[in-house]
Amino acid sequence: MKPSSRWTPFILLAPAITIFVFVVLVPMIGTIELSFTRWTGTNTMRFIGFDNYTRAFQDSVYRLTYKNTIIYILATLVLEVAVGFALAGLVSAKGKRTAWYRITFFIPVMLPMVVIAVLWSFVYAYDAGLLNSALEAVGLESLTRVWLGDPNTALLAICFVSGWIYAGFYMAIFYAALRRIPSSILEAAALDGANERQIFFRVKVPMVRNMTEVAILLCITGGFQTFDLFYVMTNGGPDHATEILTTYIVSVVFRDHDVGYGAAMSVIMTIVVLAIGVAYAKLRRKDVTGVEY
Amino acid sequence: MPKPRVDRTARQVISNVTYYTLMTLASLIFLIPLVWMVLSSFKTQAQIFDSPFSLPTSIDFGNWSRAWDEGNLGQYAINSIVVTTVSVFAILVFGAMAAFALSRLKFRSRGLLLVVLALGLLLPVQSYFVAQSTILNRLDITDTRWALIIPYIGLGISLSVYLLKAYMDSLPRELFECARMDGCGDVRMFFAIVLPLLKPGLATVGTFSVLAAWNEFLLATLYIQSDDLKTIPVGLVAFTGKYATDYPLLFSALSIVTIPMIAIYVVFHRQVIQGITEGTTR
Amino acid sequence: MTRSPRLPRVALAVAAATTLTIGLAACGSSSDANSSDGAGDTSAISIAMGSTGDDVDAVFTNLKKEYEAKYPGRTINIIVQENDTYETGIGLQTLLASNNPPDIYFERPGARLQERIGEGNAADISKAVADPRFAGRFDPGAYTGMVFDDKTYMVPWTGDVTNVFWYNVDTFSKNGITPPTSWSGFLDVCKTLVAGGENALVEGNKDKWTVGSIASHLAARVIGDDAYVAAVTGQAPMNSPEMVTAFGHLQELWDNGCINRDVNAMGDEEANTKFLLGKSAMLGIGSWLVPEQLEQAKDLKMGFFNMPQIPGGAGNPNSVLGVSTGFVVNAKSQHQSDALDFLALMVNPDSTKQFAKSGVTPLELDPFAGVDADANTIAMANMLSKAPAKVTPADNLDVKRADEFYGAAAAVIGGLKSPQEALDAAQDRVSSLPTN
Repeated sequence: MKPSSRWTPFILLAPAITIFVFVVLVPMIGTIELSFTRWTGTNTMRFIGFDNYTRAFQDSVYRLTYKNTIIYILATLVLEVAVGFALAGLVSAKGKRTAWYRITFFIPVMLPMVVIAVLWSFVYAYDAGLLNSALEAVGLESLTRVWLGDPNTALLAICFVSGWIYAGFYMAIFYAALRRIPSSILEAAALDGANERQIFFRVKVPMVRNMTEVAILLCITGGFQTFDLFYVMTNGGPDHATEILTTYIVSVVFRDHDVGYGAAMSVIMTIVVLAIGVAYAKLRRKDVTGVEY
Repeated sequence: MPKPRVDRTARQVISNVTYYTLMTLASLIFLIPLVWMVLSSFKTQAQIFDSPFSLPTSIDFGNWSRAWDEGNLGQYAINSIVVTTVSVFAILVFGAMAAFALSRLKFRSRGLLLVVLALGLLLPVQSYFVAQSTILNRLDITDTRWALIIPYIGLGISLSVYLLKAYMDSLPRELFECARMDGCGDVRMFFAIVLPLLKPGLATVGTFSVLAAWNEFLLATLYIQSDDLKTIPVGLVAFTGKYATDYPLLFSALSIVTIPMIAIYVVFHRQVIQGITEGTTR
Repeated sequence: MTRSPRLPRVALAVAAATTLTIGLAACGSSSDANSSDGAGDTSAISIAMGSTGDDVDAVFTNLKKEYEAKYPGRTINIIVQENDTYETGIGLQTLLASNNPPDIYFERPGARLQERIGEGNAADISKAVADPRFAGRFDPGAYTGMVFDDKTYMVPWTGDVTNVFWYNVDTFSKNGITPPTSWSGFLDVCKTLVAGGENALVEGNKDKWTVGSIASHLAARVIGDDAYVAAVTGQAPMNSPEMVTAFGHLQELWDNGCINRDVNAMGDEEANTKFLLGKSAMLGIGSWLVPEQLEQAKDLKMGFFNMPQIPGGAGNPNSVLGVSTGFVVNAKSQHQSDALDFLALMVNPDSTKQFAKSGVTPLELDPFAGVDADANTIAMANMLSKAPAKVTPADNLDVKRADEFYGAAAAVIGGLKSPQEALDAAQDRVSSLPTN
């Protein structure tokens, strides 16, 4: 539709675009610029070319953050997406009253991350924490650990919390997708003699393929962006066992005052995230089969 | 034949029992930490250490009122409310305006702008917050509420525009074209026709944006230092640092923040879930 | 409508470019947002610091009243941030980089002050501190680390002992223990306590500086004070055999069960509380435990002993691990003389008494005269002033290298790595640090 006046699109778009440019675009370009400098935020900026980038590639902690992030993503793909999918299957089982369960599973999604981080820090506390106390109460004292202080358990402990939070979220979106499957198809399968489990695996799962792909992409990109939980629970410790991209960048920029270096790491991360997004889109486009709902 | 029928009913009962037991166990995993948190907030320090599983001896809200007063929770709540309300309002209004232009009006740079806004969906805030904090610092806006409101709008506008555009795309073309033929200008069309029809879309985006702004932590930590401007997430962490070892007080603060949110959610759960799932499925 | 509104789009792009240019090109230029008045009779200055506790904050509030009463028309704004935020950088850096930086701010002498000087944030106040308002108040030794190139950049405030071993008097007597004087004696004490079912030593090392400070002190004692400074500032490798020996003593604490298993997961405040609640016999932390104890556990009987002597160590066996603190006048301040007026108010005898009462140890001469101070505080102050040698914790010498040093200490105290492994890893990362 043609605009009624040549200025209307401008007026309508100006606020959104201006703020977007100011908040996202300009800082994005600015970060790229900063990545080629050495700067503490208050002294004189110095241009140093690609030095920050070479330094990043040699930085053992930086490489470790990628490893930790990947572990986090893989763990959450299981704990959040897979578990969420299973829960969705369970709560959409035929003829069961599940409203209260759905509400309950979703509660953690609503809460501020910091509340959850603080709460679970207590759950995982060594002395009087809920988990260790529970283990001792049932005689499994040998299993008690310093969950957040032991580099072998810290990362997975945090991944579990992430699963606790987001399983309900993925349950909700899979549930919505499952509900969109026409009941006629489900009834036809039932009439053919399929039981609940067969219906789930042979009919429902393939039909929500689109949603599954969206969920996986969300989980992956979300994994790169996560910050709150890690920052509050361990802030990268112990000994960088839970250091992820975001906590490392924050500590480099705001604690070590190495703004240029932090900017370079941000740029590298941006490239990685964009690459994943583009690769994913290409992969999906290739796949034309399958009914989409 | 009576026998198979009895078998099937028995099997069904067992399957039901198994099912509901399983589900109840699963819900316990989700609920127990929260219940523990609330119960512990009524205990004393010693009780929490020595008998973490016991029920509190008395439901004494003293800890709660102490947490509220000493912890400045009221101030944090006000800040969160102000920042969230202003940001979400702007996200909705500016987003709707932009979505309308991008959905229904033909003009040259339309495609380009859509791609530009798409960047906002792809780029995580960590990609650009380094320079963003520098810019805000230079402009001397840090440690003010604007330091949060403006970024929150910028962060939420892309999703808002895309979702609202999707809604608008699904409205029948004839609606607009008839109105245009009747001599309706763009602006009037926006207010009289688009906005009313957009209500469900606005509710969806609104829910999503409120949650995002209310719980946002990274920028709130970096951009606000004054205690009386902190939002709830940051204030809670500061509270935790200051009263690190007064566990009853800490649990009380957490309970105070959590329980209203859960209550609101339980009442409005349908809208909330719908909002969030719509946000991701589109 | 055949022509689409392209022009406005271009205008937007120009606006964006302008914002960008303004935003980032203003690097060198200082702000002129600070309104400067000519007369100096009405001015608003600000002072920034991290919180040291309610009592100390109250003293500053008092000083503000005195200042504003003494100089009508002038105001001072006291900015108190949460301590961790201020010290670990997000707080102070943001304040300094803003367009309205504080006129006075808290900082630590030595490497940190040097950074501020290099950034152009510290004013040369040599002349001011020579005048009678300041000169008579301090022993010249109080200015250690505050003078560079014969220029003074800081007014001293408090002296802290960064780490001693506090002990629960009752627990010790119940187990028939007296404070140890040697490291082997220290280990014996730990073993006796563990055998008696007590927690020997608690540390909250989540932020790495608590055990890091102990490591600093150990290192100086074992390899020598100067060698320690060289290792931590990059002039000598951090993983020398002597340093490995020093860290070996940390490992002994873990191996003998002396230290709490969750040392690296616990925050420092939590460890303090554990000790003050009587759940641990000993705690290694600094002199600021005293005001906390007075507030949280008045009835607790606690004493302290300095780092035990390590036989064969090259450092002064009675050195004290300590830092001083002070306040800096911002070189970019438009009201430096007003700032100095406030600082003069802060160091006068009456204010010194107020600070002494609030639980900190002022660096002025004879700070506890006429003050009913806690016995531990006075003992601390005496130990600090009579120390034959002072060791500075690593994070006051070189922030980035100290981070690696403390990281190595954390790995060793938590039984995660052997001293050699931990120090090798630290040295590896330290040697790849760019030299400014």
